Amino acid sequence: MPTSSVTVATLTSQQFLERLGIDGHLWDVRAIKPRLAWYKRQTLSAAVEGTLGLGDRRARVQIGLTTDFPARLPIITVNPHGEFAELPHVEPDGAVCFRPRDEPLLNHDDPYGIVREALQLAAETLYAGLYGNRAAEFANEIVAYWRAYYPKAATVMGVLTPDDRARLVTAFFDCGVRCAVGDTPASFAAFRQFRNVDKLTFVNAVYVPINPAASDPQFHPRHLATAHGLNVHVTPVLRQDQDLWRSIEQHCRAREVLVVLGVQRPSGRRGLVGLIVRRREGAHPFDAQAIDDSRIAPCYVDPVDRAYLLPRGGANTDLGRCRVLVVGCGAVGGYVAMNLARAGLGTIDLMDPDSFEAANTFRHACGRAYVDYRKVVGLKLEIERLLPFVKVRTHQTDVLAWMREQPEGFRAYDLIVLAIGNPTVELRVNAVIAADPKAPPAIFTWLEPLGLGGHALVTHIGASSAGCFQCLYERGEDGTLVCRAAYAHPGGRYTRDMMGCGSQHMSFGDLDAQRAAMVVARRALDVLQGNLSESELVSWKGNADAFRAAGFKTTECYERSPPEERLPGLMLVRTGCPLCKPA
Amino acid sequence: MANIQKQFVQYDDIIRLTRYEENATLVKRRNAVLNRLKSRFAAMRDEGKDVPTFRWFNQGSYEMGTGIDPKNGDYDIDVGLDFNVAKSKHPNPVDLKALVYEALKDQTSLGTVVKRSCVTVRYQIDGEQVYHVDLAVYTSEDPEVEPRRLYLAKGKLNSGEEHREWEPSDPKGLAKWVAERFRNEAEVQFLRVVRALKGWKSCHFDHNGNAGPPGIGLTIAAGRLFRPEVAIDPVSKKVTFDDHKALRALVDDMLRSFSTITSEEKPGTLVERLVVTLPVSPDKDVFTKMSDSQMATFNTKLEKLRILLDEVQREEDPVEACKMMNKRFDARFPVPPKEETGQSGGRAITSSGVSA
Repeated sequence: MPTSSVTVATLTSQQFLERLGIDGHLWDVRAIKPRLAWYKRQTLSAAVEGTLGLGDRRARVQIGLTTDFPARLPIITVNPHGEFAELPHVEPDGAVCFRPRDEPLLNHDDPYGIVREALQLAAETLYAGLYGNRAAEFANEIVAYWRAYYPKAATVMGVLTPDDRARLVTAFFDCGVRCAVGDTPASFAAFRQFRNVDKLTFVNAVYVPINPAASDPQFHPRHLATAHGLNVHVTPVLRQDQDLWRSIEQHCRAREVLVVLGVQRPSGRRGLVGLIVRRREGAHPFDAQAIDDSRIAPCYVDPVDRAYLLPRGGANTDLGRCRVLVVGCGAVGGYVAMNLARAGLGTIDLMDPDSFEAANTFRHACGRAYVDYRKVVGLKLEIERLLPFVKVRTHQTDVLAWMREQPEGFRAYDLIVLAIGNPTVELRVNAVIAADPKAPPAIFTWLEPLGLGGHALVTHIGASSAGCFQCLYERGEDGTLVCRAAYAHPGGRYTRDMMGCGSQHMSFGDLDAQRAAMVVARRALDVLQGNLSESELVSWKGNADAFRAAGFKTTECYERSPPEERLPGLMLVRTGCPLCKPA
Repeated sequence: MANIQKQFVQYDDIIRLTRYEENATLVKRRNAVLNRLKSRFAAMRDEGKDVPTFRWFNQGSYEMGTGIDPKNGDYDIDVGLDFNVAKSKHPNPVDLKALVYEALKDQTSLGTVVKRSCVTVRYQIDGEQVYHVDLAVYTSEDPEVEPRRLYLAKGKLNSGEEHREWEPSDPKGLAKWVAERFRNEAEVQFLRVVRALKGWKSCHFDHNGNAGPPGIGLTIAAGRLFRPEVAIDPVSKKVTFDDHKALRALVDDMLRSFSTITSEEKPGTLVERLVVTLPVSPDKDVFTKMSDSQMATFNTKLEKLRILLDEVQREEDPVEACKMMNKRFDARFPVPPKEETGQSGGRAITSSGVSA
């Protein structure tokens, strides 16, 4: 029944809750007294209870508005001990979880509408629980129920793939505390900082994929934490594989056996929940005769496997097989490596002969953490400290020397990123890559001085080199080699010298380096995922005020370029480039 | 081929005239004539004569940006006088020209002349004529209706009635047409090539009479046929012009545009003429005053120009190429010293200006 917001605009929260009854949304509406424990616990400012029609059933519900309403949804509960308590989406305290999956946007100007629609959503949730596929709903939300029902259960990290294969897995203990479960010590090591499990102890555990919703229409998550549930849903799966059954008997000799259940969810990936089964001395851990409810304790498995974590960060699990070489681990290269690791790259090789200095502090992904370390070592440590799974290898060398020693070394990679800020060396690398038909694509990136901008050239893609790094260099009017894409007038002295010869550096900001790294990382992913079929130069302009204030001149290229520009390979080709082989 | 673009630009710098508003001297001279005209008209009105007021505007090649330095040193300033009077009030168009003549006849020692299309006031410095001001006289059907449809007063002081007329004219529309043919770099090259063509004309045709094609004719022909040869490097954004190629293509297109038509001079005879109509009123052929023989000469000289430009294209040495242009195009075309055109090695070690 529509009610205009004008009508209720002047009502207090309590009054328009009671209005739900007048408008026919709820029957037998009564105010709830503030002294009730529920009212106080939820810090409510208004609350009523009333009867809701659910098909041929009636549910008595409570609706409360918190002091933050209408910035928060109303709280709607049913009797936690009543007939609706065991429905899906009803929490142990009776709260009905009707919140939409996406973050809801509430119209502050229509508080009555929020209450009315919240009540409708709660009614639909309860109705679906009463008349829909209850078992499937419970299976879908198994992890949430496990958390809700057993909030004090121990938590272990789960570094295993929740697939369809029952098997022995490994439980890890840190200082005697069960901390994780994974397929192998190596799989857990790949998750850990510094990639080792040297100080951990481990025992066998069991992973069992189950599908309780398919076999039991009355399935409820709580069943799994009982001897009956174990006998009905878990033991039959294990008995299907007699070798596994015997292995469990032989190898799971610890007093407590961690059992990880991979519960099939109708909507996707299996949900992981854990049970700690206290084995009776001498008996098989899953011997029905030897188990009772007192020997079973639920635990929570926090999934931290690669397939679960990476997509949550927008990363691509398919990139796990890719290998990228980052040449130059300075400001730009450091962020590039970090971005690629976050994007889900499987293997990143770092190459740089230099060491970190305190001067790098404010423009490097590692800050001051690894002063005096070799850059490749410090960056590897930082990546491994922050991110699991990615394999980082180091090459503490100059790229020219490395190319001499390994003329075909680039072939081992899917992509080369050059962030050394040395076009002379990069021209040489470009020539080597262009000459080797089996060499991978390359991304050259560099920054202009004083925040003037930056560039990233993706080239050597597929059979075509058209638009290579050398294409960007031509002889200027006076015959001197100049970069066609340069924003700073060629030949200027842009380095700053604060303490003499060894301290010269070109001034640019950390944000400039981050922007370059972001562009490079996105293009790297495009290349690795096959989304780029030709060379491309991406250029972006910064503000020239500081540059000009220092007395420097910008080029025509800077003046006439848009703020950001992407030029395809054929537009980059320079007539007379000896390396380009247009497709 | 040798790259002589730099010399094309230098040649243009030598021959081009800046537009009125950019040239203080020309503005000063123009204003002096207009002020004189206004004051004399005021005096004539005081004497009881019926002299209409006028508003003026710049016109001609300077206004369009196609003006070049005249070889004979006689600069030309074109001004339109748009009288605030209905054409019907002056059936004889020479009446208004006579008023202008009357007002300015004693302006200079060289005198003022009423020509068929304008009133010319000649000026001298140190005994030599150095510039003249052409004042074109216009009226309209109804000066109260904007925009005015102008009519140009044609006829001399003593012309018979058959040689006097109010000819429909749209000088502002013509300037607008030229200005809007091309934009940005293409416009820069278009104007430069038109000026080069006019520079060539000034060297290869007699200055007097209708021996050569009129400058406005070359401008309109170019406006219709010119194709820019401008390249912009997508990376460096540098603009590269090829004026030689653009001029060669324009000359070629002009030659291809000559058509065989019946002679008006000798009815029944077929002649080759280049016919280019004005894009505005009165929509007539801009080369109509050229006789058949003058047109034939024009054709022949254009052919020779095309041959020259082809030979220049084949020449590898820029100095030699410029010498050809200097000798056969215009003696003002610069020839660089040999050392200037050699490939400079430049510095082998320079700042890269980048970091990462």
